[in-house]
Parts: sequence; structure tokens; C-alpha cells
Amino acid sequence: MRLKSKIFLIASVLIIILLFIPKDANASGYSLSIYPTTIRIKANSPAIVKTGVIIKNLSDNTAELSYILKPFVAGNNNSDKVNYLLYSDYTSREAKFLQRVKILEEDQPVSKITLSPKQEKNLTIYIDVPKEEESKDHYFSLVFLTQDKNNPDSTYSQIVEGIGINVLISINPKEYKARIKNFSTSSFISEGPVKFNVEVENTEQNFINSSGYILITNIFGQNIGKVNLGERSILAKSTVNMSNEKLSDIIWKENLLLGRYKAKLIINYENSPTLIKETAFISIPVRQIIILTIIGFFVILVRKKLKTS
Amino acid sequence: MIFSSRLKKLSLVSALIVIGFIVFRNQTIAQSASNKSYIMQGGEIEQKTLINPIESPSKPSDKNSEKTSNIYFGENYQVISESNQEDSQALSFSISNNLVDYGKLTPANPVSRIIDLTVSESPSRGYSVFTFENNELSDAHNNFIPDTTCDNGTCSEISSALWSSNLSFGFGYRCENTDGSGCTEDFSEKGYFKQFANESKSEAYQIIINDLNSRKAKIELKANISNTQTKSSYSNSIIFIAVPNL
Repeated sequence: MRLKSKIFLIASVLIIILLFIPKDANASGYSLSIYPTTIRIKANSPAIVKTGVIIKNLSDNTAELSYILKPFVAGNNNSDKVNYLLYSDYTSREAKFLQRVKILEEDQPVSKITLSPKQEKNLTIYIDVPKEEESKDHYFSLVFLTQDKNNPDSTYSQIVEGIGINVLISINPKEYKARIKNFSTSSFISEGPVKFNVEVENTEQNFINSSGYILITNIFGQNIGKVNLGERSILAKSTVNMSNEKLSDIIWKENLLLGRYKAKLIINYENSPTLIKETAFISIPVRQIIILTIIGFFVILVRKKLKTS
Repeated sequence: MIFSSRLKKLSLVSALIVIGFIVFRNQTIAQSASNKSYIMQGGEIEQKTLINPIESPSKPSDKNSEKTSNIYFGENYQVISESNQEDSQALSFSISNNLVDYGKLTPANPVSRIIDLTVSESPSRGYSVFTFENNELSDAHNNFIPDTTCDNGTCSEISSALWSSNLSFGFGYRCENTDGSGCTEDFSEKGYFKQFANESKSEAYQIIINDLNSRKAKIELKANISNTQTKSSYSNSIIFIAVPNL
């Protein structure tokens, strides 16, 4: 009996100790949402640009956020990814411009934002474009970063979450001009789907927003297919590979094709004249023809054998 | 003889039917018509919404809602806050941990920790996740655990290499796909690691995930010290930034 009560006592003490041991500092993470994801601005100096951004804390913990502005240029190899400049590569003009960008919360400039669990805040991006501002494009990401200070007595890495939007601004934009640099597909195919390559080049100094589609017509001139292209921002003096919406390639999902087809690419951008380019391809379903031929021979063979017997 | 000619006719008719089917079966599905002189573009109805610049844009809540384009004008400026896309344009990003504790490191005894990165909502143009460290794992006395150079001494913040030996020391990471192919090709081979780009050395942020769809990835952080490493507690900050593609 005494032994049983001792065991019970020890077990109770252990449970109490376990309950009061502090939980691991790395138990909780972060979850943030931001909207809109891209803001495109065209401004003539002087101007005080104000536009909204919504940031939401999706987690059950309070989030302390700071923000940074990271200038970028077009990615390499016609990619759609941003290519951040190193601090050492900032020009004084870029640094000066970024100094005039502020984040306002209830009309007051802030450097830190606190979001309670599930809280959403409407912030204002404020950009001062003075009269003497030169005609130039500026591209930067506004990135909100979590802040936490845990100092365990061991080796550790503090994890910081950043979530950003891209801001493209043209100061005193002048002219928009683009060209279709490449529109191609395989000239001969035996079956679909058909993959197209589309490269669009922005030849001028201001970013453009482009969208478009491909119309496919058969040998009789009938429209038999349409492929929508995803909307893309093309930075000044850069080229991008266009793509389908939610696909990295441009694919016409048609399998059974026969004959000569024409594909017409139509690109629209910035209320400028539509860009058009055509290409053609021939499709012969070789596999189906071989199968049909074999079946035909087989039928003739059977027929001849039946005749002779 | 009569049967043979009938068979030929039958074959000819069948072939014509097959060819006719392939050529003519497609409907005119495009919302436009064209000839050499003109293109008629039907397109879809675009709803232009004018809002007060000081008001924040309202997020489309219904994924099946009509296409919207938030264009508004202020004094000497114009803002297009979102493009004409069918789906939601918000970006949502989660990280499972705010701290990774490696415990007390012992020589030639590598420690690995896993954290989850999840993008649950993304714009149709896709997104990229960049990563970097503020500095190497270091202590208050300027001792540090160097970034790994992997088994053959070739991996860096730009290129990956195999890191499996317990006698290869340092600190590094790899990205593991869990439900898709978001991690960059650097990590397509098992056991391949990279260094984090070091911000204190002005190394460029590196993309670890680039994708069009919402996905989850596992990041493995690995630390291994040599016998000569000063016994201490080391720390750094690792930053993961999700941004939309252009």
C-alpha cells in the first residue's frame, strides 16, 4: 500500500513537472498574406502617389513586422523572375528615389507594423515624385519581414519570413514600343499537343503590360483553336518568354491533327497598335496512318485467303 | 471481283470519313474572326473599377467572379493595382517555425532540422521564394561555423553538390519537394546541398522555389562541426522571402 502511494506521488510530481516545462521556442511559425501582388504606376512629376496594400496575419500568433524596399531589374534569360540589385549596385538616383517611398498606417509613416492573430491592415504606399524627378522607371519589391527575438542557450537559426509585392513606376513615361521577337513551333508534327514559343521584346524605356492569344486556323481558314496567353509585365529594354495562364509553356491541347495549320499570334500592350505574327505547321498522324495501313493489309490478306479456300 | 471493288470503295469512303472527321470536327471556338484586312476580337467583358486612391483595394473574394481591373487616377498619376486575371491575386506564405534549434553541436556528428514552407495562394504569374542568411552561424566572440563546401569542396550559394560525409563540415541547406516540383533544379539529386547566400558578404539572394501553383516544400538545414571548432553557442538569421513573378 505504501509502495503504491509512493508510485502515485512520484507519477503526480512527474506530470506536474512535464506540464510546467516551457515549450520549445520553435513550436510556432508565421503565416502572412498580401494583396495586391503587383502595382503598376504611371506618374508625371510632380505627384504625390498614394496606393493601398493589404497585409494579413493568418496565424494564431501576433506578428511584428518591419519592411524593406528592394530594387530589382529584369531577370536573366528572358525569365519572369525579379533580379534583386545588391546594395553595392544601387545608384545614388535609386537610393534617393527609395528614400521618398514611405508606408503609412492611418496616414502616419511607420517603420514597424503589429498584426494581432488573424488581423488585416490596410496600409498606404506613399511615393513623393518631385517636380525635378527625371524621366525614368523604378522597380522595387516592398517586403514585409517578421521580427522575433528568441535566444536559446544553444546553436540556433532565427527564421524570418518575408512576403512582398512588386511596384513598377514610370516617371514621365514617353513612348511604348514592343515587338514580337520570336513566334515559332515545330514545322512538322505527328500529333498534338502543340507547343509554341513566344518572345516579346519591350524596346523602349518604360515598362509595359502585355497580353494576347494565338488563333489556330485549318487549311480551310476555319478558326479551330485559341490559346490565351497570361498577362505579363515587361520591364524597360527587356524580353520575356510569354506563357499560358498557370502554365510555364504555351500549349495548344489538341491531339488529333491532319493537314496544314496556321497560327496567328496577337499581342496587345498599353493601348498601342496590336502586334501580329504568323507561323504554320503541318501535322500528319503517322502512327494512325501506319495502324490503318496494317489493318487494311490484314483485311485484304484475310479476304484473299478466304477466296482461295 | 465485284467484292474486291466494293472493298476498295468501302476503304476509300472510310478513309474520306476519317480525314473529314479529323479536319472538320473542330468547332469554331475562338471569340474572334479575321481575314487579311481585319481582326474582330470578341474578348471577354472587362469590368473597370474606379476607386479612391486612398482607399485600399478590396480583394476579390469569389474565385469565379468576373475579371476585374482596379485602375484609378490621382493628380498626375495612374495606378493599375491588379491585372485582368480570373483567379485571386493574393499571395499567402507560411513557415512552420520561427526558430531552429540545433542543440549542442558535437564534432563529426551532423545535425539536420526540417522546416516547411507553404505557399497556399499565389497569383497566376507564379512566385519565387528567395533565401539568404544575415551572416554565418557565429558567436559573440566572432567565432563562426563556416558555410559548407560539401563533400568535394565545390558547393557554394550558387551551385549545389553532394554532402553526405560526416567529415565534411559547415552549415548548409537543401530544398525537398513534397507535393510538386517547386524547388529549383539544384536540389533534384538526393543529398545535394548549398550554402545560404551571405548578406554580410553582399552575396545575391538565391531563388530556392519558383512555381506557378501553390505548393509545400521542406527545407533541410544541416550543421556539422570539426574537432577544431571552438565550443560555443552559434546563431544567425535565415530569411525566406516570397514575391510574385512579373
